Amino acid sequence: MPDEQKISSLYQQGKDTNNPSAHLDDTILKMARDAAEDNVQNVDTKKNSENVKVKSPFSGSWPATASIAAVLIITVILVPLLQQEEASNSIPTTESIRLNKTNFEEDGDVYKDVFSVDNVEKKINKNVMMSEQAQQLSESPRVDLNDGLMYMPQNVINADALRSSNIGIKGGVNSAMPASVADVYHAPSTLRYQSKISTVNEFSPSAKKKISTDVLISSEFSQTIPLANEWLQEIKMLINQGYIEKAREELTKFKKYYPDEEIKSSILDQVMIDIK
Amino acid sequence: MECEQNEQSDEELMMSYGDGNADAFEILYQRYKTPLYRFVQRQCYKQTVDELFQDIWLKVINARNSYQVTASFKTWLYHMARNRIIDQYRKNNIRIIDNNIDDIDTVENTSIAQPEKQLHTQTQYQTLLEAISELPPDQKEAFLLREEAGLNIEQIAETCGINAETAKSRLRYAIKKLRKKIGDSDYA
Repeated sequence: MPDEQKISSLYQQGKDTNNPSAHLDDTILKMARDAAEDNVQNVDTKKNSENVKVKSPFSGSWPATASIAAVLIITVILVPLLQQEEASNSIPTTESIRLNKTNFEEDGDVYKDVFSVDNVEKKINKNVMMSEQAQQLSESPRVDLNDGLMYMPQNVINADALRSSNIGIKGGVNSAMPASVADVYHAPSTLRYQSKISTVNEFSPSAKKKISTDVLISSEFSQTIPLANEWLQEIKMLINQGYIEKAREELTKFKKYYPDEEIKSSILDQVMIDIK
Repeated sequence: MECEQNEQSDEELMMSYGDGNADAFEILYQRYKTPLYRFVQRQCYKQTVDELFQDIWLKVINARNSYQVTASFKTWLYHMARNRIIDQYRKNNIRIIDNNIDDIDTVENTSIAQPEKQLHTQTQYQTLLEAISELPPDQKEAFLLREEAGLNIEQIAETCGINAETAKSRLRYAIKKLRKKIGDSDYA
């Protein structure tokens, strides 16, 4: 458009140099600088507050480092030292003393119980029974833990024996073929055999200790308590030698230990006691 | 550093000023102070120009943190200037009628002294300036945005919040009236 270009050209050529005054420029620029400084101060304030947070004693990386170092020290140095000290420490602690005391009291009950005459006889009988059972079990099925199979002795792998012992083995068994443990486990009698095995062969340390104690007591008893005939002979000798009082005491003891043993009336008359 | 800043776009400078760089604002100010001052000067009374000019830049300063690059800085700057000028019109009870371009007239026009009486003794440029001052505000605004700010039709439309056709019409009517005034002066 020619008119538009002409007017535009005229306007651009004749532009006066009307500018804002220097005072106005300074005022506006000063406002701008002040605002920018406020901005910077605000940003600095924010940064400072963030820096304060960063520099707080519980931030940063040193707590993690210190924690790792502490764990290493405890693991590498303190734990082995404590273990060594614990192993070499012979001084019993309060807890160990209490436990030992408890065990001792329990053992004391056992010993007290064992020393009673009735229990000594029972223990002797029990030992004999256990010996017999062990003898029987030496011929009973044996479990080989290596291959998980039960090997049956010749006398057990007998149809009559199986019926009498209620052992049910699938498909029958012959002496050359080992029976599966899984098959035998279904039979009730197997549990009984297993119980016997564990009674004889799988003694716990305390059980072993108890059995050894029983054997000791029974041997001591056999040494201190003479046989009935010998004891009666000794009583007779005491009477003949004139130790009536001693003979009476021994006879009382004898009657106590052998209540069913018959005592000759001549002896009873000489010691002049009436033992019912 | 200063050279690099001079090569930066208006939007980058404004963002930089929002980050606290006062030098960026100074560069922007140097770029736009003269055309913006004349843009205000052509539309307002002389005694209010400095005040309006300072207010416009104060708005820019206050908007430094919220400024986002949704349009060109130039469009945004002149949009704020226009709004400030309109506020000034309203404050002085100047009624703006822009719904009918052919019948556009303002109280300001009627209040200004008759320019035709002075055209005989003034230069052609002064005739042009007086003709500009006689233009209706929306046409004057469109003309000044084009000649002072260097905006195209789309940018004028965006700055004024109107569609491109309306902006084009306003500009066309402004040129027509100016040509008529200058022609009359030459003729006289």
